[in-house]
Amino acid sequence: MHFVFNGSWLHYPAQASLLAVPATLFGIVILLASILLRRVIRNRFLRHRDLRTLRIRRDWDRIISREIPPETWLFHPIDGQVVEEILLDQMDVAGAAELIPLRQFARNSGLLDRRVRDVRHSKGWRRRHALLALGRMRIPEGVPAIVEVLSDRNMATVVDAVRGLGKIGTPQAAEPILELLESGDLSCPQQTLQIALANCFRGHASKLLKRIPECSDACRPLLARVLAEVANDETTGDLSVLASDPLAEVRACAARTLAAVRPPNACHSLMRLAADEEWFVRLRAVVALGELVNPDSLRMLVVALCDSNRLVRLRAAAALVRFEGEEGRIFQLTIQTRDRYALQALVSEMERSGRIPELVNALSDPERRPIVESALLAALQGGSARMLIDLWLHHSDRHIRARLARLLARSGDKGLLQQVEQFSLSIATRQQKRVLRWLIANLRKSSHAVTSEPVVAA
Amino acid sequence: MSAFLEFSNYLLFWYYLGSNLIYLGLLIVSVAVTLAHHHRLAGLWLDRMRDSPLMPPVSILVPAHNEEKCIVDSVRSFLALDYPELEVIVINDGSNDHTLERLTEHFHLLRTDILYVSEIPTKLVRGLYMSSVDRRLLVVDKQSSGRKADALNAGLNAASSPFVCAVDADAVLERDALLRIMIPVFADPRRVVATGGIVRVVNGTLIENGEVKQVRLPRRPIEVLQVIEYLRAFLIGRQGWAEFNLLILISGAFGVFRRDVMRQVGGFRSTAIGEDLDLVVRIHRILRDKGEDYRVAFVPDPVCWTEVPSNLKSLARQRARWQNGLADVLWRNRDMLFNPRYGRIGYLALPYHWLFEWVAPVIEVLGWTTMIIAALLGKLSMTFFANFLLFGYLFGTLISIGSVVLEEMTYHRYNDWRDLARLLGYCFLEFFPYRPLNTLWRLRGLRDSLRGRNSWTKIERVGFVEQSGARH
Repeated sequence: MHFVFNGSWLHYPAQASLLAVPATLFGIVILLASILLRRVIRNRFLRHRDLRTLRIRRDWDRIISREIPPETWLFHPIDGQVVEEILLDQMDVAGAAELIPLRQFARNSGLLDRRVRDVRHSKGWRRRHALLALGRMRIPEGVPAIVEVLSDRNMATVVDAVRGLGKIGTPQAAEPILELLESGDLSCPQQTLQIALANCFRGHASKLLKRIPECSDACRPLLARVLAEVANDETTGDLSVLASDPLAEVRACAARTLAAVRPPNACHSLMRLAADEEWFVRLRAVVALGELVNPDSLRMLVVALCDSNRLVRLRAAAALVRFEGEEGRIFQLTIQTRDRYALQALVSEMERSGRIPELVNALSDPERRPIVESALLAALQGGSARMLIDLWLHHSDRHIRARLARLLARSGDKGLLQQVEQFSLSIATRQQKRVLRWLIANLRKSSHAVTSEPVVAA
Repeated sequence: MSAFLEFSNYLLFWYYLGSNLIYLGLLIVSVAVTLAHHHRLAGLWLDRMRDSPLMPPVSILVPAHNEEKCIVDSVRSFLALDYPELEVIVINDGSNDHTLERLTEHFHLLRTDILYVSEIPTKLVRGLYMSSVDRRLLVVDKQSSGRKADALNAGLNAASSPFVCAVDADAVLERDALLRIMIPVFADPRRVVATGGIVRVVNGTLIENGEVKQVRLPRRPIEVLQVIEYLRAFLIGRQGWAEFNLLILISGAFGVFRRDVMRQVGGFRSTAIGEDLDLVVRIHRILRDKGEDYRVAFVPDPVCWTEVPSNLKSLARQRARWQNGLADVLWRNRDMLFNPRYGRIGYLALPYHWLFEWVAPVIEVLGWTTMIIAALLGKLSMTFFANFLLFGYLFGTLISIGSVVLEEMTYHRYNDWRDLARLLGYCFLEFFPYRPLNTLWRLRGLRDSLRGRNSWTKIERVGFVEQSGARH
């Protein structure tokens, strides 16, 4: 009889296990030693590096002024790295004036040349780190070296080159990216391109705006997205071309840009986009209209509240909530649409944004009271009964509680009556129960007298 | 009889060797991937991403069933995350304790009637609550179906962001965890459909106001052994598989999914025991059926701290449930095995899980039993038997120490020398006695799956505050 480990016919596993035991034991010892050694060496290295960093920071002014010659630190494995890191950190936060001496130092000390050489002749991570370092230096001489890498076969390297150009942050640095994009020779994730281009055109959105209409269909959506990110009220140019672009994505971005730039005809253009055939263009336009808070757009936003797309409806509600003091009119227009979903979306957003408690508090203001009361009655119709009862029972101001109680009693809402009856079962205090009984009696009385305007389902 | 013993011994030898060699291969891959990830991180500016308007919004889904001990701390930690666009949705899954009351008390919840469309069917949603102190918090109160998946589906219905992050209610996320886990999405938004982060053991660690203050190793041996197990599973296993786009499990304790893809696959399967595994396998199935180019990624540095069972009874129940869930998913998707349509998932990932995860307890128990019988009957050379035992023990220990090395090389969370010494010491106890125990628990899970038992059993929680208080 032969068995696996008797070593006669099945030699291999037997020998293998014999060999494997010392080999595995050796592996364990190596791993344990590596952990312990690494801890010790790492601690020593970090201590050593911290000391040298401290010394370099102390001598920083002398290093920058080249009083300490670059040869003394440039070729040192730790010092060279530390000086470059400090320099790059300073360049990241430096203004235009502070940047000049720092750039001069990078040029004269040899740090720039070293990084350019790394980009051109090194491989792997060294090259990729050099690309980012060159970008952070923001020196025009570094651009050609980075551009050479844009056509590299390795996509990870191209991504770092694009990020490097993005870090330079000038429209000139974006030119090579745009050229390659136009010719379709750049393979890089859209998100990376978008960030890089946004960095390059921040503060120069007008230049980008001029360029977009000339671009191909493949590039225009990307550039339009970037424009929407970087545009501000100082951006000049004709946005109507973008708003009437054949590509829906460009039109959607135009809506965002219009909200950021706010040209005189912004509201009119956005209202046109809010009636676009593509839902996401309507969505962007509605959001933008909410940012403009122009009373002329109220009707359009109420129409959007009845949109076939749920997201557009929700955003329209969010936009409408921003119109302070117009609550009565907004509710009136919404009720006129006879769309229950629209009213529910509006009331939900009013609740979510804390506007219903604000309206309740405004009951104490005699001037606003009539408008507020009509708005609250509409909110009640839209399904805000629970929150209103809750506010009525727990509001700290007894005058407001009284006004709200009268308002609720006057509403004659049958749905409210049911809810109040349910509420009364779970109420704890005797006083609250008494008040609820009063409200139920009044609601029963008024429900015979008042007939609220019916709201039909969409 | 002899032939059977012979075959069984032979099988066990190659089985152990194969299993450990695969793990050794994954360890080597993971070291390379981790180093590359660190290089990549060096070029990323997380602080800029933190404020970037280009980051996609994320809804965090927190299913909570009787979590009154830790829910407030957890929600506080989720709301404090560094992420520009965030929404936290807590799903109170029919809790019998004061979970909802504690949330109401701490976050001033108000009942609301916001629009809730039940796109994925769930048990009755009793109400929706918004926080008046932080409008990013939404609480969905629903009837319990006894399944986490159902709660997650309710959260999915209420979510409004393009990405959802499923997190356990007893978990604490590090402040930048969400930002880090979204890096693959940010780099390749078209292809990445799901991404997972690392889950670490919170037992013993000091938590204050939902934030990790001091990382320490737990005191109980059973907890330390789980620390090593988690390190090995995540730092070696998940990372290695993800590198080849072979990951079929993203932990339900911390994972991000594209919402449109989740809706395509119909959300979590509400009858699934291992809903996280089931979801990822179905994502693979549906996207491969459609011939789409996609990626399921894993990022090793976003950390989710979670409480692990601190007694054998709870641990046994948890492991049996995991095994039951695995069996359920693998059996349902058996048609994917060696099916060319499912490519590497059908040829590599699933066969591995069948062979080295699902039937592992059976093979191990059978193999060890026959080997002991053979040794007792004198049919087996005792020298080689001892040699094999030693080899199995040392190889398993080598892999466990390898995961500690990886942790030490990269993330370096356990700074204290004593913690490191204990961690390494317990590596020598993982193969024996922990692994045989685990095998028995998993065998129980297999038995449950054969009997069709699929009830959800919760592990006993100590809660963060008491736990850290006990230690410090």
